Amino acid sequence: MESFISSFLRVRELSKKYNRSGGPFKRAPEQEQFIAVDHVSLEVTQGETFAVVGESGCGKTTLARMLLRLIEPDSGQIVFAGRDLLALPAAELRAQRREMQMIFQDPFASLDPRMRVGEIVGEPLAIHEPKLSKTDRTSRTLAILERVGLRADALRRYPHEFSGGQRQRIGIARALILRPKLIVADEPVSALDVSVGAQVLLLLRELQSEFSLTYVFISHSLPVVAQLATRIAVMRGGKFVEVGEAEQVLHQPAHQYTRELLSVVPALPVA
Amino acid sequence: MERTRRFCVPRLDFGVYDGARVDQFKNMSELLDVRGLTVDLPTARGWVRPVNEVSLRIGAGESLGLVGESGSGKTMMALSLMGLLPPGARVSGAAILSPANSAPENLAELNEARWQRLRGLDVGMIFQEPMTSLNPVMRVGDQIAEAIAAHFPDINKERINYGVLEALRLAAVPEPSLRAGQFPHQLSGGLRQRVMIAMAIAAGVSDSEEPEIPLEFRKPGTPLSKPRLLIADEPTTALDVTVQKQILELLDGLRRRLGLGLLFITHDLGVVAQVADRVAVMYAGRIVEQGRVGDVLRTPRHPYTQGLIAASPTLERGRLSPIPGIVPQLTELPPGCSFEPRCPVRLPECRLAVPELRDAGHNHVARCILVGNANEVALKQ
Repeated sequence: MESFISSFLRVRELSKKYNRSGGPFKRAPEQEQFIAVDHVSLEVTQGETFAVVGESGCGKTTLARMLLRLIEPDSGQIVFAGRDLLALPAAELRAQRREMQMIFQDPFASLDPRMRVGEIVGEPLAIHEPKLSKTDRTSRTLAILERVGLRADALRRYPHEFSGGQRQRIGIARALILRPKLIVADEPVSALDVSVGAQVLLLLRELQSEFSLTYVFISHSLPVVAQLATRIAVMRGGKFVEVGEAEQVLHQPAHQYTRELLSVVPALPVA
Repeated sequence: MERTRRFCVPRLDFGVYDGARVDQFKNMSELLDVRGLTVDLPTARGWVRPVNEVSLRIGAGESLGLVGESGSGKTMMALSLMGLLPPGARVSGAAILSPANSAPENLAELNEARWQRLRGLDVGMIFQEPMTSLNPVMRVGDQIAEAIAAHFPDINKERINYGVLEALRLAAVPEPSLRAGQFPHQLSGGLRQRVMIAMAIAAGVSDSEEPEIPLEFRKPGTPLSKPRLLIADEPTTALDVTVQKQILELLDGLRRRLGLGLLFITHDLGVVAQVADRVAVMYAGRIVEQGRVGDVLRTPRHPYTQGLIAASPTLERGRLSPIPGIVPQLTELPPGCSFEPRCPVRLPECRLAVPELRDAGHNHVARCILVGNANEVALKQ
């Protein structure tokens, strides 16, 4: 039990089912339920990058969102920094959320088009530190925008004025402004061009050491995951089929499905 | 599945690529010859030129990979070859399509009536997201039948049905007659893309000279009566990697069996390495490098291609090096080489004029003034 408390993020037997039929007033019969996440357990140590890889429909996004309680799990336990997240009352959960932030896949859909970038990035501060003066909030917003590689004039502009890569930087700035400890990144580069995606991956790598971040990194792409992960979990049908050190999973995979995923990665000819 | 396998030429290793494949295309007839194609589009900020003096060729049975990032103009290039440019677009230059049994057509000068005869018959296109390209309230078989009936209004229902099932079989859709009666939402992403492929080739299949002889009884490798152009715009980007591999193999087999010329548009160099014989790299509307896929990917001569390769994640960690900066807006192109602001090896004269495509040997060209320069290798290290 002692180690259970001291580990940074520990998930036990987390499950989520969705109804294929029925509706809000009608319970679907057992065989009509779709098990998105099936008794998944994992443990993440501080400072590491734990990657979850799988194809569409394997449950990786549901898992990511349950970690932050953006989706309510049906059963299981999530312990973050020694606190049982599923048992927390709403007010304490909200306080806990500043420690754990999410970066989303689609930089076009995840930013409010009617808000200025300064407001988008500063909003978490306004919520979690309401007593902060407006000038302090602006200066912290500015500092984080500059850290992720955006110019100061971004403050007053709107999301549509930015390219996909810049928008993803805005999303990262918003996630980082509260100085969280855990970042859950759901496909952060899959909507980006190759050259821009590489910039964002390297930025995430730099920020990790600079801000002492722990990442849970969700992706469908093994080459992308290989750039950041310390450990990799391969997910299929709601379960982890293989979990291990990144090097081992990528180069000495134990499970047949992992080998299959690795074999279909399109490779460049070697010069 | 078995059918595909029987006719699929096994993938050739890059080591033997040159000899083995060149031989296969020795008698290859030229299908598409694009010369100086330029597209101008009206925007709120004035005219922009997403396609700028593009020249390329595709032979029957040949596959050309068109590589570029968003904003490079690759999709506008494809749409101009389908006559689907947005209203107000101006096209100049020439794109000569030469189907074997009919007169060549300049795609840059067609009127809409001509386009309706050609589109779907001589030129087909498949798109990135098959869900948004299919009609959700129509059975997929009926949608394929529409593609056939639009070109052959006189043929009877049985012939159309035959064509629908034949196209689905060619696209390796299991249980074609069952699938033809289903709606798009009942199909997986991979199956939907197969249905799109079936739709793109359906009219061509129905047009074959001996439609009564099922394709499996014809001599393998015999092209249909007319070679056709198939444009695939990021056809696997929305698919899982395992499904992506199946679709790439399907397209590869189809172009060999049907003698299709394939214009494969993608941002993924790994995918290009799998499907293309030759590759053209596009940046800010211009082709910056073109050549055989092995040459371009192994010994890239343009700094942009070199940068793209270095920025592509591989299974090895720590090798990633991004290209600094972003793709320039078409309204704010630099006066000289459009890659100059991001280029690690730029010289002062790069800003003076847009470089010509320079010969790098073996039908390999690159739009960089350093090509042929004695210090090229040293500078690009």
